[in-house]
Amino acid sequence: MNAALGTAFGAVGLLALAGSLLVGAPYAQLRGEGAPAGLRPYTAEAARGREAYMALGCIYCHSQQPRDPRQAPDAERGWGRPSVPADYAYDHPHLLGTMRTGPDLFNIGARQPSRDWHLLHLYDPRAVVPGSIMPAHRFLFDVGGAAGPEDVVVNLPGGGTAVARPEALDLVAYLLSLDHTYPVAPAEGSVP
Amino acid sequence: MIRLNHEALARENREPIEAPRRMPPVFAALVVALAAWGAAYLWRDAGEGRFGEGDQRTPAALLVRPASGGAIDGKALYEARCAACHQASGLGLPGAFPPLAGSEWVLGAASRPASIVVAGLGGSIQVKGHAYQGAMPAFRDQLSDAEIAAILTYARGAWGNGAPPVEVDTVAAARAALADRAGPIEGEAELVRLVPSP
Repeated sequence: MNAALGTAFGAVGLLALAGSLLVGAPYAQLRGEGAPAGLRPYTAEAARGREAYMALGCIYCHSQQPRDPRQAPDAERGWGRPSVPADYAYDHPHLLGTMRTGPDLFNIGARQPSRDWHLLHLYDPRAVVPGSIMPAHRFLFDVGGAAGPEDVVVNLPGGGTAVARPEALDLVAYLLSLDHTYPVAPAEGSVP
Repeated sequence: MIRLNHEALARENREPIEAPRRMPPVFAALVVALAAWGAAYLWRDAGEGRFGEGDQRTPAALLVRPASGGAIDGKALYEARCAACHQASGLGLPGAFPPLAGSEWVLGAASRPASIVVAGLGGSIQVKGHAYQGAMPAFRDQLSDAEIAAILTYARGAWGNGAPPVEVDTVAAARAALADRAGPIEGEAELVRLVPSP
């Protein structure tokens, strides 16, 4: 009986300790971090595109967390400065990702600001990036129908067109909103 | 009525219990050492309370846009900013993105390509006999005048193009002329009207 009581208290105590160190302490440290001045909240279109990003599983191949130069040469890859906690102020849940089968996308909106490029790249990645292993997302487009006046038409290399569905436009709006190139001022005196 | 068989009970062993035993000293030392290591790691890595910079950041790396002191490499900038659509060969993607190699717009008056890069271009444009529909983004917020001039100078000299370099002043003039404009230049017609060939 005493052993069971000790085990129960021990287990609860360990959980409480781990919870306070891994959840409570970081929360207390970062609760004062507001959104940076250069970061805008997602538009409705971009927010829908974020849902599509999650639903399509982009996170399984793309990270959103450029690393510090001490850890990886991400800046030289053109992926931008290391991210800081405030950059994720509007991200619930965050989409940090763990795999880099494809490039980091934290600054894709600044690196590749062309909507036409993104749409064609989603339709046929190999058309613009030879040797890409990204799957084509043709199910986000209508092919073969007549385009209406409001439709966004993607001109395909070698002729032909495709009409982007709303999901594709939302997803591209989200990708174009991923621009965290604004500077983050380090604390005074911390820069040598 | 239950009758207890005391003979059978007497044959049974007692219920075993674990005797209290002290933790081996090596284990206790290991626990203390691990806790001390964890505390020392947190103490050393607390970053003097600058939690907003994240874990183990190089403060200088957070300041993006390094001061461009050295020479600007137009070819490197072209490959980073333009080649995804217009291709490293300058040939574009037929049907989707117009070529720059041999393009009458690139080779013509420098103020026109400068205006396109500054403000972006939508609508329709005729390049080397083919019509292109598209939307090129504006680069006025991403590139400086000197960088745009370097890119244009590269594009006007590469792939057999033989046009003279583009001066920084030409880009600055285009930027000033288009300062109030929010959207992209709407196609060839507006480009010709907005930026007359000298």
